[in-house]
Amino acid sequence: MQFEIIAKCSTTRARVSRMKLAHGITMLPTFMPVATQAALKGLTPQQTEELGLTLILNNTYHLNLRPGTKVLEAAGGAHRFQGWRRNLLTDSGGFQMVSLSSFTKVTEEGVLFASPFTGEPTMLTPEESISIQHSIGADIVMQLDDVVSSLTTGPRVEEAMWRSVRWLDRCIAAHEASGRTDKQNLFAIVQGGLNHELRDKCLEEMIKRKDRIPGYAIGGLSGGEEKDIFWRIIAQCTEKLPVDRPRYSMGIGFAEDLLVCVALGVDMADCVFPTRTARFGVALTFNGPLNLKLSRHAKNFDPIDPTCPCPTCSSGVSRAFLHHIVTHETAAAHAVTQHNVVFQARLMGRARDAILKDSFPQYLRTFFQDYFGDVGYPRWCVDALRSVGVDLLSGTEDVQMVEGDGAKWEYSEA
Amino acid sequence: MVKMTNSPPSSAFVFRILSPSITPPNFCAPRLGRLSFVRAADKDIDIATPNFITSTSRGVVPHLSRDHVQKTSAIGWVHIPFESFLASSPPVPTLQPGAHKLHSFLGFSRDRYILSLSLRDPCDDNPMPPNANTHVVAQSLRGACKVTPALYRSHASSVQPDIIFALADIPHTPSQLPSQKRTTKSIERTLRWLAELLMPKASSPPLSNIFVPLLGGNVIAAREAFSTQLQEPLEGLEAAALPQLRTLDDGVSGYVLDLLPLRLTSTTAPSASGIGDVVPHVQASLRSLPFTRPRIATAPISPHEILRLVSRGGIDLFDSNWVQQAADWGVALDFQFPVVDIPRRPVKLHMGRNIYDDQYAMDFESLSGASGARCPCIACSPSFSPEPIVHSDLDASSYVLDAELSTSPLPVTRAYVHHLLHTHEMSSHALLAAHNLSILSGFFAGIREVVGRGGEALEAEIAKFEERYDEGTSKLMMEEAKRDWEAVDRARGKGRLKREKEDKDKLGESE
Ligand SMILES: [Zn+2]
Ligand SMILES: [Zn+2]
Repeated sequence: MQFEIIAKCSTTRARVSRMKLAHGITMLPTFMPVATQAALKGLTPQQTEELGLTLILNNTYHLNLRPGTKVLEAAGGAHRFQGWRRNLLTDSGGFQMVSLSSFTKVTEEGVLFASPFTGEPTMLTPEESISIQHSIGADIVMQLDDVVSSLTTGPRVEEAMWRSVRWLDRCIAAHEASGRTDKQNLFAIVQGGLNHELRDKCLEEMIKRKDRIPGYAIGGLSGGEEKDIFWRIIAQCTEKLPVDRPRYSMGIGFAEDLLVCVALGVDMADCVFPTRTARFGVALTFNGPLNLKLSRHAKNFDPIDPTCPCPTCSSGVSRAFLHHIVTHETAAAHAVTQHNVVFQARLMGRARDAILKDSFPQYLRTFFQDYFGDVGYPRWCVDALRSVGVDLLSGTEDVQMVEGDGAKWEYSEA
Repeated sequence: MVKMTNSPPSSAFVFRILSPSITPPNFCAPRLGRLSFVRAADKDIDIATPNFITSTSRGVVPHLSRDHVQKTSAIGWVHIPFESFLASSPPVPTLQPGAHKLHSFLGFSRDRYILSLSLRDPCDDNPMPPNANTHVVAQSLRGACKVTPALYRSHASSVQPDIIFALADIPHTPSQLPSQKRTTKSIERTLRWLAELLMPKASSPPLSNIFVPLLGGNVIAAREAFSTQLQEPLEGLEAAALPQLRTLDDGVSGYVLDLLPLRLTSTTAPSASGIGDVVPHVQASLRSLPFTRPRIATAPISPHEILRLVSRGGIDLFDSNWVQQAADWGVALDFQFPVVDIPRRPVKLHMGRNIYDDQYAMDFESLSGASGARCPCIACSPSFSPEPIVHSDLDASSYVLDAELSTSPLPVTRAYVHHLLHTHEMSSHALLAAHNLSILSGFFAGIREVVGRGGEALEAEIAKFEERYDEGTSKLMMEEAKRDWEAVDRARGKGRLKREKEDKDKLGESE
C-alpha cells in the first residue's frame, strides 16, 4: 500500500489522502458501500464502478458460506468471481459470527459458533480468518477481533480488548507467513468498548506494532451507544493513531456521522444503511432523506435531486414514478440504490474538495444548514465539531438543538 | 401521410410486408415485414418483423434499471398494461407535464422506444370478477376496478402511446369452458367497445393506431364469426356514430391474438410436448382478415410455439413475457435459430439452463453456450464506462488504470449467477433478464434471416430446431427451475424486507 496525505484541514483533523492498493487508487476520505454477497445490492460491477466507486466491502462470513473458498480459489479470487476490478476490503467474519449465529462462544483459540449448515460447533481462529481472507483476495483484510457489544460493561470488555491484541499478533504472523503482504494489507482493529482507559491501552499496544500494520480500524462502536460517547471515543482514537496510516471507522453511514468522523480525522467508513434504506424506498439528499413511499411524492414529477449525477436522477426518473414502483419492483431498489450510493460518494467527494481548498469548516456549516436547518442540529454533532474548532452555530440564527441521536427521518404514514 | 391537426396520434406508422411478394399470398404464410413509426420531431423508428415486444410490470422492464434498459439493445418496443396505474384517480401518468406522457413518465425516450398500451396485462392469468356490458374489470394495486370504454379512451388519449390495444371481454374463468352464450356476448361487447374507441366525439378525436384483440375463445366457428363481424358494414346507430368508417375493421391498424385464454380453456389435444397447438385458432381468426395488417400474439411460451406461429400463422410480433419469466426462475436461455451445425450430440439440448442447479457452482463459462455466437447482453459482453462519475477534483487520478485493470471485462459466469441466485441477490435476475431478452432478439434475427430466404427454408430449419432443442424437456427444466426459485424465495425472500426491518439495529454490518 502507498498512503500519502495530500492536504490537511487547518482547523479540524480532516485530511485528504491517496491510497494506492493492488487494484488502483482510492482517494480518502471515502465511504465504502457493502457488497455482502459479492454484489452491491442489485447492481453489476460495471454499474458500481460507473457510480464512481473505487473501494467496496465484501463480508467474509457470508462468502465463506457461499460460494465458499473452494469456488473462490477456482475463480481466482473474489475480484474475478464478481467481476470487480477496483479495490476490495473484507472484514474478519467475527462480527457476523457473533451477530448471526445462534450460538457463539469465544475462547482464546478463536470464536466457536454453530455452523449454519449443520448446526455443528465450528471454530474460527485468527489464522483461519486470515486464510479465508487470503482465498477471497481483498486488497484490505481485517484482523479477527473479539467483538463485544458496545453496550457491554465490566471485565468482559477488557478481556476482549486484550484478546484482540493477542489475536492481532496471530493475524500478523499468519499474514506475513503467507507472503501476500504486497497484495493484501492487514488492518488492526482498536477495541476497548466505551472505556477511555481501555481504548488508550489498546491504542498503545497496537501502535507498538505499527511497522507491521498498514492501517487501523476503530471497532466496537455504532452498536447503539450514545452518540455523545461515540464521538469522544472516535476523537480519542484518531488523536492517538499514527498520522501516516489510514483510519477506518467501522459501521458508520449516516451523513452527519460521516462528516463528524471526517472532521475528527477518519479516512474510511462503511455501512449497509444507504443500500438497505434504498430498498425500503428512502432516498438520501442534501436536504435530508426522502421516504418515496409517502403519498406526498405520488404526483411529484421532479427527480430525487436535479443536481445529482446518478443514473436515476440524470435520466429524469421522477419521484412520482419511483413512488409507483418502490417496494414492488426490484428496478426501484436498483434506482434508489444507485442514487444513495452516489449521494454518499458526493458527500465524501465534496469533503475532499473542501479539505483541499481548506474550506472544510464552511462545508460543514453548509451541510448542517441544508440537512438539519428545518428540524434542528443534533447537539452531539455541534459538540463534536466544537472539539475540533468548528462552531456550527456561528453565523446562523434561531438554530434549534436536538438531543439524542438527532437522526433525521421522513416517517412513513403506515 | 395525412395527419389530423387537432390531436395527432403519438406517431403514425406504416407496415410494409417485404416478403413474400406474391399477391395474393396465403393468409397465414410466414412473412417478413417492417413497421416504420414516423416521429414528427424525433427520429423515425423501424421495427423489422418478425420480432418481439418487451413485457413490463408496473411500467418497468422487470429487474432492469434504466441504464440497463438502455444497454440492452434488444429492447425496442415495450408494452405497458395500464391497469397498475389505476390505483390512484386520475392515474398519475395522465398528470405528467408535457406531451407524450407515457414515454416521459416511464422514461422511454421517443427516439428509441415504441410503447403499446393495453388495459389489462395479457399475461396475467389470475381469475377476475366478470366483466359487464359497460365495463372491463382490471387489476390495480388496490384490487379489482371497473373501467368503462370511455374512461380507457380518455386515459389512452391523454398518455399517447404509439399503439393502443382495444378492450377485450375475455372471460377469466380458467377451469370451465365459457358457454356458447357467453362467447357470443364477449364478441358483441368487444366489438361495441371497439366502436366506442373509434367514435368521433366533441371532447376528443377518435383514437388511432388501434389493435383489436381477435375474440372467439377456443371455438373455431366463434373466432371466424368475430372476424366476419369486424368486417361487416356498419348499420343503424353505429353507422351514424362512425360516419368516417364503413366497417369497424377500417378503423383498426392491427390485430392481437391472445394465447393465454386459449391455453386456459384449450380443448385441442396437447402435443407430445404437453403444449396444445394454438395454430388452428389463430388461422381461424386471420383467414378472412386483410393480410396487410401487423399481427401480435401475446403470451407465447416457447421458441417452438413462436416458430409454429410464424410459419403457420403469419404472426409478426410476440411478447417476451416467457423469457422474462424464465429469468425470474433462474433460467439462462441458450438457443439459436437457425441451428448452427455442431457435431451431433446423442441427446437433445434444452433451450436453456436452470442456473440454480448445483452443477453450475463451479462452472465458469458464460451464460451463453460455448457453441453460441457471442451474446451482446450486459452479462455476456459487459463493458466498463470510460467515464465513471467523478465526485471530487482529485478523483481523476483514481481512474488511471494500470495494464492489469484496463483489460476488457470477462463475461459473467454461471458460477457467479448461481451464487447470486442462491443468496437471493437481485442482480442475478437483472443479468438473466437482460441475457434472455438478448437471446430472444437473436432468435428473431435468425427467424427473419430464414424467412427472407423464402421457399421451404423455414420449415426445414424448424425441423432442425425441433431436432436440436427438446420442447417437452425444456418445459420440465423450466418447471424445475421454478421450484428451485420458490424454495430459495421461501428461505430467503418472503418477508425478508420485514425481517430486515426488525433486524435493522441488531445487524449493523452485514447486508
Ligand atoms: Zn441521484
Ligand atoms: Zn447474454
